[in-house]
Amino acid sequence: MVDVLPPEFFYMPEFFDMNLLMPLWAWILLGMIFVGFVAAVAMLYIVLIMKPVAGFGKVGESSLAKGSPTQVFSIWKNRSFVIESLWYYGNILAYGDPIKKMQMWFHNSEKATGLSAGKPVMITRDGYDGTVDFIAEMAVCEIPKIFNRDYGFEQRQKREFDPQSNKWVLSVDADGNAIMETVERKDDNGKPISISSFADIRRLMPTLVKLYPLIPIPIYQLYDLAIIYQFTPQGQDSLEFGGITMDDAKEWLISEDKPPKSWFEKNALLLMCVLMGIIGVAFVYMAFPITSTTAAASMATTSAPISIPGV
Amino acid sequence: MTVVFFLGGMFNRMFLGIPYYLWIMVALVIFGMIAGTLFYLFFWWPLTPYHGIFWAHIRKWGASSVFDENMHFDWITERSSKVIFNETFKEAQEAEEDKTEAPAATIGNVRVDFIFDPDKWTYPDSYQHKIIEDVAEKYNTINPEDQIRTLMKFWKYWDSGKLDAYAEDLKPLKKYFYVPWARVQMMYRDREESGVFGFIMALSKTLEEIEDVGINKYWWIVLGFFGVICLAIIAGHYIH
Repeated sequence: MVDVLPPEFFYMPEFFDMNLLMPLWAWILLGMIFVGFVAAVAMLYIVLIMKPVAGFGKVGESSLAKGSPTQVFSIWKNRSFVIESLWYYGNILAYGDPIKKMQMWFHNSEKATGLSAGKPVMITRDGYDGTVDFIAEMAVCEIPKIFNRDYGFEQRQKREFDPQSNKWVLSVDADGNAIMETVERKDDNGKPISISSFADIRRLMPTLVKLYPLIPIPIYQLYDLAIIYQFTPQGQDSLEFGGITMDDAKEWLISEDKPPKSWFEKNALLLMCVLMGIIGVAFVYMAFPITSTTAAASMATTSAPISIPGV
Repeated sequence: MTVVFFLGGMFNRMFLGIPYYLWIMVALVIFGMIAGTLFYLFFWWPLTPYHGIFWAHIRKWGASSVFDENMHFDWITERSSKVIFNETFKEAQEAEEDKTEAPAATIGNVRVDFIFDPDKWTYPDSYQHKIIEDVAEKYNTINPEDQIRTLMKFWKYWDSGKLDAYAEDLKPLKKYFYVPWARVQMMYRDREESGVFGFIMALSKTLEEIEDVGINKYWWIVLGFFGVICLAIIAGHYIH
């Protein structure tokens, strides 16, 4: 290390012939303190103030900026699970750019809003156009089990064909007791009444509500996508819902009764920019003339000496 | 032998009596510290609840997202979410001679399951877990051929009546969670009922803005052209 600091270290810069009364090192230190202060404020702002905003740092500027970003768990049929940030606005969950990513989900139930990492979270799947409430889904998957067990099947005495009398007779065992068998219960039209799809649940819902006022689901259960997809409403796809909503928006845009903008109205701002550009070019021509004094001087020195005859 | 300096010896100079090399080293250390701090503050700290997924990825475990009746999610390891005793999930499954179930989803190469657990069965310190541990141990000592090692199997056996002998012990535990119909009806509302009119109006305005920007885009080419001319004039002046 050096014992004596070099004189450059104590150099006092001058600014427009004004002595700033502080050596260079002090100015550098002051600048570092200022930058550090600004950085600290920025960090506090981003980390402490922006942190509660779900999805900060993930959602860039987008056209749907009126909505608020929401943490979303997306579970797709290719078994990938993604934690992403979507816009929530007017009961609809959508990507920021609806033209590039058209999928949309309707937020039906406030019970479908969970909490993860201290922030609200919504769950979406690509087979259904609404946000998902896991508990409601598991309940829906439990109803067929209970109903089919209690009412889907019935015990009937077995029948067998008797070749001697050429008739169907009720079968009995050696002791004369009836032999029973389990058969699917059918309605008046001959259709089975057991539940095998979501449409069946929707059809039988008034009866089901009376039979089971509360749906019991196991207190410990794995969320099984294979069963969930079986009891999901068919034909309600998130991409389709987004497309329909986009179509409606376009129709609404056209139906709005307003005069179309004229050419000047549309391009006034940019015409002004062009005018500024022309003025800029003119200014450059005037401020930096090509035949400047320096050019003239250099031409004078490099030209051949003039010889005047007779002198 | 001729000595050739790296980059003409530009780093062999001194500043304040210290060579440039040392200055660069100090600068790199400071840069590393700043980068580390920024990484921690902006990328690692805000994602604290998801660190489990990272460790599961590094150590090749599975992860589970356990949720209660209000859908409050907790990310824990597969082991603590599925196994009763202190062992890995694989060991437990081998002891039970059970097949591996397909996970609900994957994050990268981490298997993820969603587990409904409102009664804190998966919390190792909860009294529910202790009861389950006791009952399973009693059952396993009597039935060494048919062991209960996972919570899933425990619930199945309880439901099918195989644990009726321990009914007194299991009294504090709940077997079912009861879901009201309103919750189901709310989620599966018809699409016709969904009011999206406000959103459609907002979206139409957004589309209009996008269209406007699209029409005027080519004017920037004109502006750029003028800018280039200005630059050319200034450059031309200095070349002269």
